[in-house]
Amino acid sequence: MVKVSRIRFSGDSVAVLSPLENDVIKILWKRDAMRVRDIYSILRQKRKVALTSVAVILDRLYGKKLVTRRIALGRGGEHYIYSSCCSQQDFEQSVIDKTVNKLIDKFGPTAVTYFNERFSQPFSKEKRWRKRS
Amino acid sequence: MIGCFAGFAIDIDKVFLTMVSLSFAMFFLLMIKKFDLSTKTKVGLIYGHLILLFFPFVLFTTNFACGAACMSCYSDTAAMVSYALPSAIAIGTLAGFVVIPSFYMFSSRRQSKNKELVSFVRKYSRLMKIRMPNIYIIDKAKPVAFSFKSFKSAIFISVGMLDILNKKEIQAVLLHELAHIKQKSSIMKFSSSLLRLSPLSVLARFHHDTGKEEHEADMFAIRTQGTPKYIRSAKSKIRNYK
Repeated sequence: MVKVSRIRFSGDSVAVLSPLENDVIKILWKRDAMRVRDIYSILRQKRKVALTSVAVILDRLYGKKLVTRRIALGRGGEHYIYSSCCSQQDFEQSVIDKTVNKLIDKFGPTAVTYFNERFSQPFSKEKRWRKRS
Repeated sequence: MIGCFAGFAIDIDKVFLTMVSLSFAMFFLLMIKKFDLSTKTKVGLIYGHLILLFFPFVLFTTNFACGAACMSCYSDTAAMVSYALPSAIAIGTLAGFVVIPSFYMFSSRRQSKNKELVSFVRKYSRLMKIRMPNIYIIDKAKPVAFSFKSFKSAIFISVGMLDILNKKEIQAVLLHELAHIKQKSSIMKFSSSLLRLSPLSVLARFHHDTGKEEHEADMFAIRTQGTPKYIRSAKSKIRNYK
């Protein structure tokens, strides 16, 4: 199960991961399995980052159970091969699931009534409702 | 039974042995602290200290066991010492040279299969005239490396370290660890950490300074590689890993 400890709301965006974590996981979502150095070389083209930072981020993502790793033998000795645990869609669903569960745990019937009202609206009304709120 | 047990305190021979043992333990500790001795002597004194410190407890335990059973050995100090002294030596040796190094070796069973690393270590251990250490891989992303010298010496290196360092930097780290094996500094480091268990070392404020050994190990890597560049960059990468 993916571990989500914090969700940040800033402006229009919702962030579950830090910007660097987000960039790293996006690379892994696109590819099967990669070494730290491979991820670093892709990321370096996009932003200024150190190899150690990429290694730290990957270990953090491993701690959050977003990526898996195995030891493989290659040039320079043994190294980790990282791959994502789930697809982007599975990850997003997991985040939504956790968020909804937390809201229901915290607010109980109020949250359930809210969701009921909110999702029983037809799509056009729902859009208006979103604008209003 | 209590009478037999209480016999330890009133038996002048056993009390005398305890006092002598603890005095020698303190003397050994002061020698380590005051004099600039070789690693071998220091390690010997540390283990001597620990054995002498264990001795009264083992003697007391033997006395208690004999006393509890009201066996005849309880009154025979010489017999008791002949049980207690080898036991104390065995406990000290077992803890120092077998149990803890074995714990590390068995907890990290993965031996490096990288031929390049192994042949590099083989080449330099031959040049340094030390027995070729095994290279063990630790399944950890944090960059760590350390060496152990016991019956068989070993270098432990984490996967995270191999991930972030380049070939020359890894070689610098291996040379640094080989220098530690040559200096037998792991035994000293380990022995001094064992010494922290001794209540007398707290009283004597014993502290083993590892700075000199680290500097010498760095210098060895620099001399061998002909440049401080790689050991420095390896250290900087390790420091930056947060």
